[in-house]
This record gives sequence, C-alpha cells and structure tokens, in this order.
Amino acid sequence: MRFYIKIIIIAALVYFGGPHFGWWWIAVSAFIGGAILKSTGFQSFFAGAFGVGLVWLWMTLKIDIATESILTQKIADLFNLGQSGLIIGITVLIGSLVGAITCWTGHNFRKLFEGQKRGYYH
Amino acid sequence: MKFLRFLISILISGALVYSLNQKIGSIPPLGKLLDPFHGFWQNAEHDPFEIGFDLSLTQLNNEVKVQYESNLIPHIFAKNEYDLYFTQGYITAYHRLWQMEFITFVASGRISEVMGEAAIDFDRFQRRKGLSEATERADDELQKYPDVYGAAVAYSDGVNAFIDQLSYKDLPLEYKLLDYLPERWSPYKSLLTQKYLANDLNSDRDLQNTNMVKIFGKERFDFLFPDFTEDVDPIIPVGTPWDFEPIEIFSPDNREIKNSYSVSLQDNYIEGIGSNNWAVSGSKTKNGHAILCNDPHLGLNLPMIWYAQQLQAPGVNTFGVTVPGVPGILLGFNDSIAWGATNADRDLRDWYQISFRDDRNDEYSYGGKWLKTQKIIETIKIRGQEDFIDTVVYTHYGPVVYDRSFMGDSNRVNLALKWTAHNISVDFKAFYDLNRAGNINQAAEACKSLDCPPQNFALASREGDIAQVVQGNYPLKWKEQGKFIMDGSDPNYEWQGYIPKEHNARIINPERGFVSSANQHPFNSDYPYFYHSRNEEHFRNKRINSVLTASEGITIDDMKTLQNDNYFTLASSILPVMLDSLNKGELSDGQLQFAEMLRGWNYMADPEMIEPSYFRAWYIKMYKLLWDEFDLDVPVAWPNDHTTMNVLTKWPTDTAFDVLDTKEIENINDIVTTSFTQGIDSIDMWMELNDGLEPLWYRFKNTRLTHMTRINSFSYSRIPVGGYKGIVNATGQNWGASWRLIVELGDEIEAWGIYPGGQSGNPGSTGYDTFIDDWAKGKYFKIAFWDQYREDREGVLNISFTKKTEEVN
Repeated sequence: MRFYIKIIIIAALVYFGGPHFGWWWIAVSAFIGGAILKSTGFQSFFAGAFGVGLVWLWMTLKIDIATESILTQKIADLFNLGQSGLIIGITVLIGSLVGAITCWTGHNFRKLFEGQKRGYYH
Repeated sequence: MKFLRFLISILISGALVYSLNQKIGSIPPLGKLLDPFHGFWQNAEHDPFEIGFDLSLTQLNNEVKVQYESNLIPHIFAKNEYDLYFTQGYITAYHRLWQMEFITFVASGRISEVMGEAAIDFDRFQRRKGLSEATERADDELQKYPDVYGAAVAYSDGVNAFIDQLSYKDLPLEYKLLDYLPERWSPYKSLLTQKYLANDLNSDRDLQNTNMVKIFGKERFDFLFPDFTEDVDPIIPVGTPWDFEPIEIFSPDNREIKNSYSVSLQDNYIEGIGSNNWAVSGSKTKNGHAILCNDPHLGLNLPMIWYAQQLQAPGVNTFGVTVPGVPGILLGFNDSIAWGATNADRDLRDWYQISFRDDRNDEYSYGGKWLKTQKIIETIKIRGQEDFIDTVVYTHYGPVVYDRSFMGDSNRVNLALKWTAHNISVDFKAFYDLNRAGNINQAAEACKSLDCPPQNFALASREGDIAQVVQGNYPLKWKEQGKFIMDGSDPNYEWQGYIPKEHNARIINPERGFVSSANQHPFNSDYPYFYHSRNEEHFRNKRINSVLTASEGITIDDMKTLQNDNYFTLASSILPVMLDSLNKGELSDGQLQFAEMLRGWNYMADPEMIEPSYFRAWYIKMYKLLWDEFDLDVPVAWPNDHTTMNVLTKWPTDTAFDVLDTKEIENINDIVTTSFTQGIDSIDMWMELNDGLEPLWYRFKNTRLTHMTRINSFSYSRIPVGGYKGIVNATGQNWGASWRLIVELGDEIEAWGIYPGGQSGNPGSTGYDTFIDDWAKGKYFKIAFWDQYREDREGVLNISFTKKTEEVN
C-alpha cells in the first residue's frame, strides 16, 4: 500500500509542480517521496521510477496525440530512432531513471534518521 | 554504513542530474530537452494561432491591431511608426527568433560559440572579411537619419520585448537542441543582417583569374572568360543612348601579372544565386494595368529567408517580404507602386598583395614609403574550449584576409580585401523610402540610397509607369582593373573613386513595353565605364525577353506561367550538336535508344520527365572531359555554360576537346561519345543506388530545403519541382526561386505570392512548411492587402497589442 501511496505522492508532485520548476523538479519530487514514507530501498527505487515515469508518459502521449506526432517524429529521426514511439520511450526511461535513483536517495536519507530513532526506543 | 550508502546514492543522483543538464559532445542536455513540461515537447504546437504571451506592453504608444490569415501572414495596423516597427519586431521574433539571431552569428563569425571548434575556420574567414567592423560604422551613419534609425530601434525594442518574456519552455527548439540562449537584439544586429546579404550576393574571381592567366596565358584566358560576348542581351537595351558625360579614368601602363597563388581559397559563391524581375506596361496587358513580377533565387534553407507581412501606419501601407532581422519590407508593393530586385553584382571585391616590412606586419610598402598597419584582435569564443585569438591586420585597402596564419601557404601571401561592403552606407533608407513611394519617380529616387549589395530594381506604378533601375555603389576602374590580384605597394592600382550614381543607367517606360533583368550584363560594351562580373547570365534573360516581346494581352496567369517556365535554353542550343556528333558505330542499340529519346525531347525541364536527367548526366560528364585542363591543385575557375555552348557549337576544333590524360588527340566526336556512355552509366548507377527508381528529373536533380543547422529531419529533399540553372524557373539542388511575387497595379491591387517554406520557423508547427507543396506545383496564394483594419473579417485571428500603463502604488 505504501508503495502505491509513494507513487501517487511523487506523481502528484511532478504533475503539479512540473510546470513551475525546471526539469530537475522530478529529482526533488522523487527525493521527497522517498524520504517521507517508510519502505524498502527496492520499493523506493520503483516508486520513483513509476511516479515520474507515469506522469511523463501521460504528458508525452497527450502532446504527441494532440499534435499528431508533428515534432515527435522529427526528434525521433534526429536521434536515428525511426519510430516516434521510441522518443516517448526514451523520455519516460530517462525520467524514470532519475526518479528511481533520487527516490532511492531519499529513502537512504530517511534511513540516516531511522537508525538514530531506533537507538532511542530499543 | 547508512551514511556511506546515502553518500553514494546522493553522489549518483547529483552526477545523473548534472550530466543530463549538460550538452555532451553533440548530445543535447537530455534531461532539459526531454522534459515534457519544458523540453522539446512544448515546441510541438497544437495550434499555430495560439499566442500564449502577454501582449500588454509598456513600450507601445497606442493600441496595435494584428490580423493573422490562416497561413500565418500577419497584417499589422498601427497608429504610429514606432508601434508599427515595434510590433513587426515582436511578431517576427515570435516566429523566427532563432533564425534571425543565427544569421547575425554567421555574419559576424560567431558560429564556433554555438557549434564548437569545427567552425573556427569559417568564423575566422567571416571576421577577416571585416563585416562586423563595417557594420559598426554603418550603425553610426544611420543614426543621422532619425526616421530610418527610429524604425530599427523600434523593431529592436519589439524583438527584445519578446525575448524578455521567454522562459526555457518557450525557447525556439534550436536553442534547446544546441543548448544556448538568445541575446538581446539591437539596430546593429539588423545592420549585420544586411551585411549577411551583401556577403551572400557579392563574389569575385580575382585569385582564380590570376592563376589562370599564369597557367593558360592571357589570350586563352580572355577567350574562355570574355567580358562581353556578341550575343549579350543586356538589362538596358542595346542602343539606349547615355545621357551623361563620363569621368576620365587614369590607366597605368605596367600591369604585369607576376604571381600565382596556391592558398586554400574560401569561396562562398553559390553558382545558382541570382534572380528574375520584370515589369510589363499596360499597353501589353489584358486589363491595361502595369504588372510587376519578381523571383529572387537564393539558397534554399529552412526557415526560409523571407517572412511575409503587411505593415500599415499613417503614411505607409505596404505588403511584402523581408529577411527576419530587417525592419520594413524589402521586396513587395504599397498602395501606389510595386518593386522587385535582382542581384546586380559586379566585381566589388578586389585583392591587393601586401608587402610587409618584416614579420611583425606593422608596416607595409606603399608608393616608396612604409605605411602603418592597424591590428584588430578578434576573440573567437569556442564552445567547450578556450577562446581562439586571431589578429587581423588592417591596411588602408581593408583587412588582410589571407596570410601565413590563415590559409596562405607561404610568407609571401598577404592578400588585403577592398570591398564596397566596407564603405559607409545607409542602404536601409532605400527600402524605408520605397515602402512609402507614391509614384515611379519617387520609387526610382528611393533606390538611390542602396549602395551594397547592388540591385536591379524593376518598378511599376498604379499610374501605369514601369522602370528598371540599376542601383549600387560601383568602383571606378580602368579596363581590367581588379580582375586580377593587384600590387598593393603601387598607388597606381588604387580605385579612382566611384561611378556617379547619375551614371548608373535606368530606363523608364521603354518602347518595347516591358523592362526585365536576370543578372545578365547590365549594359552592352558601349557603356563608358569598365565593368565585369564573375558569371553573367546568358540564358534566362533571353528567354524572358523573347516571351515578353511575343506576348500581348498579358494576364496574371501568363506571368505565373512565365515564372514557372521550364524551357531549358542551354539544352536547346547544344543538344542537337551533341547528338549529331555522336560516333554511332561505337554505341550499343540500347544506348542509341536514349539518343533517340533525347532527339524527341521538347527541352522542358519538367519534374516528371526523364529526358532532363539524361541530358544533365551527359552534360556533366562532357563538361568534365572538355575542361579537364582545369582540374588543378591551385584555385581556378571553370568556364561557364555559355562558353561551353560556344565551344561546342562554334569552335569544333578547339584545343579544349583534347583530353590531357590520353596519348591520342581527341576531337568533338570522341568527347561527346565517351561522355554519352559515361552519362548513361551514371544514371544506371543512380538507379542502382535508388532501388531502381525511374530517374525522373526532380528525383535526379534533388531540390532540397535544408534546415540552417543541416539537421535532416527538419529538412525536405526531392521536392517535386522542375527547372534548373539558366532556366527561368531557376531551381537547382540548394538554390532556387525563394519568393515569387506578381502584382497587377489596377484600381484594386491584385497580387499573388509564394515562397518555399512557411511563416513559422518552428519545425514543430504546421506553419513550418505551409507553402512548400504549392510552391513546387507553381501555385500561389492570393495576397490579402487591406486598406484598413476591420473587426469582422472572416477566417482571420484578431490580436490586439495594448499599451500597458505602469501600476502606481
């Protein structure tokens, strides 16, 4: 459950904060998502990937469909990718990768303090 | 342990975000670029009409109304000139900001800043030609004309108002891909744009000529590269009397050509650059109104060099195209007159061999004395590297372009450039005045302010007058002066001033009922001043003149047909001789079939025909065999198509026919037959490389529209369009009719236009390629020219720019 809540928190931060900050906002969002809820490092990694990746997938599909791939295809050709779908894939992949690593980093950040807390109560 | 894990993960995160935020090699900053909220995705346009900016601006004096047609052509209605040019600048930047800035980077040699070290030689060459330095002086001079300079300032303010509103998300795509930011605009940059045009349109052949005289001898050189030919059909018709007393010119005796030069010549000459214009008087048109036509042939790039619009304010109402960066209209019409220009290039760039006193290059020999040089340090910023420092030595002639540190192969090569583009001029005034001219005399007078690049202006008025004005600042030279590299230490080689503007010939309402120009000789050899040019046109002008002479009751549709005329005059002149000279016994039946096919050709270079492809393939091979003696290691020029035609049709025993690499002495039949076989082979090879496609002319020719960055996916190739060099529809591989305009000046002005591109410079907009298909088909859009703003026009987008009043607390 926490895993899904993590994803939703990150996705919401990315979706609503995205238009107002630079692209690095995905790193901040995923870091926050990784730090505020307890979970395993493994879960954090994937929550970060999905949280960012899903929003970026939604946004790119929306733009691609609305503009009938007018630019998606040209950028795909520019990177020798052939199909316009691949540039969507790479966009999502890069967003997910940054989300995953930074969410895991957020999780590791949380761990620093969890350890200390454990020291107090056990 | 926990801390270590955190440390490692935050380092990885940091490195990842950092590297995705950087351009690495040729890979753009992927994080920034791919972010759907700000990256390239935001450049994909849902609706090209959506203008998401605040159009309430403090700089405006009054409200400005803009009406966009569905093809994105804006009509700007302002209440004063400042607001008019401000809005023009804003709107042009909205559609073309990256292009307009990039043009100024090309002109001032700053491409390395954006593209990296590969462009260093290009930048050094641009800077060594001294255009930036000349632009600074032009900027000072233009300030003496407050109206004209005011337009440039207002335009600049408009561009900057747009730049100030830009965030990363709204940046033109190219900035995101190449990872840099726009700078602020200024009138200086508008003037740089004009120098960019001068650089594109001026060329010379002095160094090549010098080498050719050394190699082939003067007699042979003169024979193959004559200043005049007996069949010239000049702009000012033969027999027109000169109504002025020419200035006497001093001509020195000793004019020996001493050296040849093996520098790595940097040549920006594009052989297809040129233009057509003509104006027909009402006596020859169906409706009795004058008609003006113009099609400038320039490099075919995207975004296209032209941007179309209507500009209206009290005292001016004009429609036409301009180069993004230049305020006003460069080519078009107003409510009284229409004008069109063709390049009027002559040898405006001369080269002087400089003899320095020593390696310090501080002094050079001149008239038995030592003159001091001036040195300008050019700092070339290079992306990702340390700056490159280039010292450019200036003499009184101009900058030393080639020397031991740049392209010269020895200490002896020091070539200074003297060029009319270095002179102070107020060229913008010509167009500012043309935009407002009320009749043919005012229009002809307006042209006088244009010095460089010189143009032939065809003019027509609603009053029914037509004129052709040959306009520019031309140096006064003795016969053959500047055709070869000159001795810079000898004062006798100085230019002796300039041809007075009144002696630049013009013709108004000639008896033949039309005026025309197509980059041919402006005058016959009886013009009292010496002039020559690199490559005068010999074919388009004759075709245009013969069609116009034979035409009566001319309509706009006739003019559309003529602008798109694909008659291949060169082919019609030489193909019969080529076919007759074939040694048929040496050819197979299959090859002979192609000869028969060509014999039945109507000489039209239409896009869907195969005959032009076979002719062209044959011609190239024949040309190379014929002029094989020009295949040398030092820079030379090759004879033009007109000389090639003459050799084939008039001088069948010329030595050119011998191929140097063989023992035998070849004759015309050998050359023609060998090249015929080679030509067919080259078509076969082309078909093999193209999966057996039929070699239709448009495919074989391959007209391309190339994005200025050369990014393939933003470019278009194999555009289905006919024509070629020397054809009225002068559309080759990477040059062609960059704008076609037809204006009939009746009570109501009826005008048609088209250009190969679109109003939007954004590859992610449907407005990027709007006109390309129609242009290729020879179609036009009907130009809307409105006398005033009307709210209720259908199919337009109405936009208001309003004055923002500062909020008072």
